[in-house]
Amino acid sequence: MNTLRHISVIAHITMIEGARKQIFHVLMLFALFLIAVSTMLAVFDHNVQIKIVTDLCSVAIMLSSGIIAITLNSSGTTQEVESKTIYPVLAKPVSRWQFVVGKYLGTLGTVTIGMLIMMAAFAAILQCTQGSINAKIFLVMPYLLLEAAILGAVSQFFSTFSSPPLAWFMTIVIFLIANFKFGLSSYLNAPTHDVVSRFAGLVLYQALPNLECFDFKDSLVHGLTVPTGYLISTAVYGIVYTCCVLSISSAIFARKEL
Amino acid sequence: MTQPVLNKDAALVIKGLTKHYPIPKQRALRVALNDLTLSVDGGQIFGFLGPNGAGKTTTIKMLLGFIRPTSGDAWLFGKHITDDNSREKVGYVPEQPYFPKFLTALETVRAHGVLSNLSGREAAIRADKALEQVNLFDFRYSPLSKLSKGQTQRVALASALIGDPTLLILDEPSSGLDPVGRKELRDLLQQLKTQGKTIFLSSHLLSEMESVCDQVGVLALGKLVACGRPSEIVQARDQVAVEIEQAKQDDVLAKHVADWGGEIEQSSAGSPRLLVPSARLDALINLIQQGHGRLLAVTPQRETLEDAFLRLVS
Repeated sequence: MNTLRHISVIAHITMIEGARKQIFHVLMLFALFLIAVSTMLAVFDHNVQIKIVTDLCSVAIMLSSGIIAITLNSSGTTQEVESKTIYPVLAKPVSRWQFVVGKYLGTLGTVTIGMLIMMAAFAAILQCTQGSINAKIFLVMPYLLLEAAILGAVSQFFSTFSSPPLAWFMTIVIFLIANFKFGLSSYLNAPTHDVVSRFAGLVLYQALPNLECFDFKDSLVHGLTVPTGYLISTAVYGIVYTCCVLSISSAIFARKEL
Repeated sequence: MTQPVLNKDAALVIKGLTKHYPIPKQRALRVALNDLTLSVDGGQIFGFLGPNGAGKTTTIKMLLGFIRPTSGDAWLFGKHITDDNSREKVGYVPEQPYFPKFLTALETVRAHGVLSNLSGREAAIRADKALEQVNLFDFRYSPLSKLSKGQTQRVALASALIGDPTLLILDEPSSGLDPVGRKELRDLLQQLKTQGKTIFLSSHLLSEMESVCDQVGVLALGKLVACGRPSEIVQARDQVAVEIEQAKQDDVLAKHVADWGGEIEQSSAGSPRLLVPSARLDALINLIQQGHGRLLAVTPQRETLEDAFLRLVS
């Protein structure tokens, strides 16, 4: 019970702090601008226009929430250590892992707030352009959030042993690689590579998050059917991967001298 | 110095605590703390003294688990410092108050209540009381960004007190407080002591330490150079100060004082102040009465904690 209380109070403060940050406001404005701009594409046929609006909005939400998650997580823990606000917290019977998880969940809370605002704007745009909203579209939101959660966890992992800019950069690189994981697999398994390289490639392949498996979002947005089993397995993969990364981050942070 | 006897039931036990830091760009180590051994019994105020860089904050950081000792162990209420629950009964006030500035005083103290294992409701009730205790109740809705350094220090104290800790670790708590605030802090420490709390107090303000501490430990260059009651640490001086009034300088009196191993200094009022061994007091008074001046005051001399501190760390 105390563990949950500790995590929730750290998460609550982190969430408020995140929502007050300038970078959050800037990225939100950018996403809302993109969503608003998508309505200006009225030159196209009605069906094409709806498709473009839907694609543009979902990309804007995905990118903004991902970058918010990466940015806030890459600096969150380091900032607490540098500003020494971590001292009064860890002087209480609070474990380091509780602090890491609390900070992470708080950031995820900020991302969720941003995502809810963007989804509301998206829904308003759809209502204006389409005259009605297909509720199935909102099924995509948990998966967008899960994708942001994975990126946030990776970013926090790097932030436990590197500077915020480096953690941010490395997570962006991983984000790019993780979206083309299948291509990476084909390259690493090429017969021209020796056994050691192929083994190292296999380890790297397994360690990197597989964001390609979230590509069904487009199908959801456009009202296409995605097998329930696939949706569940993707959700489980995302949650398990995030938990693993958080565990490693907590173990590293527990050994850190503050 | 003899090693203090460790009491396993003490609130705080430190045994052979050592911390080395690597010196950047050199293959050398800096000894921040060297084989520190001491114990603090429950219900005491323990003053932890030392010049800057002596290892006081390093010790506190190790006790609270912020950094790991290179060697040695420490226990808080019998629980090893590596156990997070060892801090269950501990309240900590850092030298500089570090809190998110956007929170109000009440929100900060309440959050620390929950982190001290209180329920949300209990934390809300106790937060008001803790802020009252440090005279900050009227500012409870003020964001920390709007509070002065002294007020923020009080928030830190309230945050430490909300969990009703048995051991308070205070790192320079009076820094940032004005004289009134310091007096209030002294009174609060005495009040907490009467409630049976143990206080581990690191401070540079030696006069304050002398008046409130039951035990003191003096740290110099990472080593404990003295530990005990303030009265045991200060050296007894078998000396008296005799202040006199003279129309002109008297060589006879000066010669006698020098022969007795004493010295003459000027008092703040400009009159001569003769420091002589207590055994020579009668002879000196006889001499003064023979026309070598007019007696103004006789004061027994004792070493202050500050004198003892300077002697020990020099």
